[in-house]
Amino acid sequence: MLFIQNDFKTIQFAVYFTDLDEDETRVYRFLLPRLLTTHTNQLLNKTVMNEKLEDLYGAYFKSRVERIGNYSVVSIILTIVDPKIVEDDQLLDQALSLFNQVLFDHTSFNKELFLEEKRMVIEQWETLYDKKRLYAQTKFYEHFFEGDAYGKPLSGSLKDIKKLTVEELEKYYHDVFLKNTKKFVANGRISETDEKKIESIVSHDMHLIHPFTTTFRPSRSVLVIEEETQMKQAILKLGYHFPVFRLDKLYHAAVLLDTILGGYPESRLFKEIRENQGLCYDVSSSYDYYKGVIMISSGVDLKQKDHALEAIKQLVLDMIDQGINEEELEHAKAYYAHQIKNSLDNQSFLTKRAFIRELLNQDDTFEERLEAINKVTINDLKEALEKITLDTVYVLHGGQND
Amino acid sequence: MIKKTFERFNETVYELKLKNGMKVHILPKDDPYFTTYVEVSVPFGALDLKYQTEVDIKETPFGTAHFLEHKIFAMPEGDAFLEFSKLGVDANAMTSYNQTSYLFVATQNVIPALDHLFKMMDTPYFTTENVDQEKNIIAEELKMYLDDPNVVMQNKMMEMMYHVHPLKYDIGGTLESIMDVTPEVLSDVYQRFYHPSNRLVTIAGKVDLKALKSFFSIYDQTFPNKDKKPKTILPKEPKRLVEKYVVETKDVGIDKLMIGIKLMPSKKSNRDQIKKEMAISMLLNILLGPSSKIYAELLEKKLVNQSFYINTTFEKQAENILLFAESKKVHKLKKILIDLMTVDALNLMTEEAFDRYKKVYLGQFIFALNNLETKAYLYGKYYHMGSSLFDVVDILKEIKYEDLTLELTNIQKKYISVLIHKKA
Repeated sequence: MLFIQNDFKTIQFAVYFTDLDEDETRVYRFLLPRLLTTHTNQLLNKTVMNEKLEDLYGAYFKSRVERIGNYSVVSIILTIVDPKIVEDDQLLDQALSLFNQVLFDHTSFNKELFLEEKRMVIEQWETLYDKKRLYAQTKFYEHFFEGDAYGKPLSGSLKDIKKLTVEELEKYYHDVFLKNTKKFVANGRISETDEKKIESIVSHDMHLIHPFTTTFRPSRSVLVIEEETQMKQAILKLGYHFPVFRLDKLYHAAVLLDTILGGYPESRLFKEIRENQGLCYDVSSSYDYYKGVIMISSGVDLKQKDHALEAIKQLVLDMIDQGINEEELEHAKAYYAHQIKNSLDNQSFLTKRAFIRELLNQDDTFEERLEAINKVTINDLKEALEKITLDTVYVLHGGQND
Repeated sequence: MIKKTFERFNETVYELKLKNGMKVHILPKDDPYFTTYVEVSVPFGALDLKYQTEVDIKETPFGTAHFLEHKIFAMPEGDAFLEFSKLGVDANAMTSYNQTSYLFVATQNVIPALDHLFKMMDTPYFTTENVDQEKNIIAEELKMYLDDPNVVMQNKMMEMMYHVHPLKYDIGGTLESIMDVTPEVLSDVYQRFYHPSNRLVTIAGKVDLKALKSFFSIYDQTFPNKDKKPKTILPKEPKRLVEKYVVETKDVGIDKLMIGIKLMPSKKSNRDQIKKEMAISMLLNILLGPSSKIYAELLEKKLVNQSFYINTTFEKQAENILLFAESKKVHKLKKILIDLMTVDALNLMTEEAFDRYKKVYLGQFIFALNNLETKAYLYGKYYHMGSSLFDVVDILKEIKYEDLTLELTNIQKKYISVLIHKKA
């Protein structure tokens, strides 16, 4: 159990269930947190569960499943108001009891609720095409990460969801999920007595059987996919192979490179593609340090999509060819340092950070991290730039009549 | 500087009023804390399209406030973002129906960034070239929203409910209207609405009170004059709807339903208006929130999925409620929702749920205080409504169950529009 003491006006209880990310279990891990937070042995349906949360001053659960390297992490977080502010000395005990029930108190699942959650996921699939940006992102991932776990939806495939039974899910929950490695984090103003109380009901276990890995396939000749639909814009997605990972020595240089390329309003993409050429409203890059890739995304003027695509490609080539300058590096460092300090004032970020640091065995202080960023040189960026290779281009665009 | 303390929530506010009329409100956070959030809001938003000057009435294209927000970042020496980046701060801006806000988040260089923010706001730089260039960028922003089916439905619903009220237009305007924006239009609204007298500055988080006081004292000497903003003229909106029922065939995966309820705004004191808005929001949560009987029934009958949402708008002379759902049985759903809002509601409300929601709203207030941006945003919102964020808890206490049932009487079938997007 990890405690973070601070002065926030809310308290968070979080658990992270960690296991290998595998094709066969993805659908279970997607549906489980949704189902666990809808009912328990004592709170038999959603209505009763929501009444309970409302009675706890609008306490709420947030659950999600995500990939971190080769792991699948299911997180369930309960946020409550600080009992001292509302002067309710029962609140903490009631919240802890509810958190405990949601995680462990399920002899079997309510079949109706299981079917309901299943229907919701299926309907999400059925409307994916309506949400053009989400659709473009999903298709781009399918192509860029073809043959890799990242290319497969976190929810499992539509086929997986359709054939899933409540009995299979119950079996996975009891036989596998509850035996996952688990990390608990409590974040907020918590007394020592309450700390002991919390520790007595949750068993923290961070022993991972499988080593943490970050890999991706080698780069390939550029794959270009264009798809036409009914829409007013064209969405461009460019995937770059960039083998620099979270624990590599070039990691900070890679983050700075991404910032300079498309991470903030002073980035090259923002200045050139949006401000100078007026081709779009949004253009940005994002660096996935667990997968070693940089992805560029932009919604551009339909009539100028080919020009915009070439302009983005050329901008990256120029950056690789000519490098970056000292001023750009200094601005990016200032921005990156600001982002780090700013995140330390965010309770949810601190909760997750505690988990990630233990998962990756990190013990550097934030001051050490800022120092490491300060030490990044132009040469480090040059070295990082040499690793960028264009790999996949995906374009979703409207037709001539749109 | 006036100091106000709110002990229960461990919050303090320092208020400073400059000679020029500009208001500065500071909400400090104790160490250890890194972040400072600064927001300067100007009471000029998307609804301020027509205004009275000394000589005549001026009318501006839809989306002018949003366009101006984009162009405030243009400075003779280049884009204002460059200097913000140099200082290592995150700057942004946003336009709502009734105000425009310029903000930054900093963990260092607060005073230089504040100085730059005011320089940017005090240096209008509108040229034909930079205004024309911005039209392309804003057009892409509008098209981005037009590719979102929910936005398309919402835009259409506003057209179905409102005859003349500017709420019927998107905050950003239309692809056609933005083409009519010129440097002259921007200069005129800038001169009339952006004077320091009209600005509210909210600063939250880590602060150096002495440095801030000194900064604003110098600023006050630079801009000593007071100014009064012109009166916005809103057209008289008829009570009736424009269209009651529209079905459009679309390339969508599941049919979509939007129900718009046009409410009649009435003249109220600021405090009563806040009470009314809270009462309506509470009423809707009791009727259709996650613990309501009806919501459970809609899920059980497979009539809604997780896309279901309720939205309320309370603006100058225009108020409404929107209900949205994706459903494979839109017509059945439509009947249940309309019957609920106009006939069945009273029988489904309980005082028990009302008491629970009072606790929820107190909780939500505390959740909001945890986030600098939300806190500063709500502080500004309630200030512009003539109240204070920290009075909200007292106002909440004053709301009675009967206030909710009274609001139900404002919901009438003849003021309900229905829009369906039917799968092709």
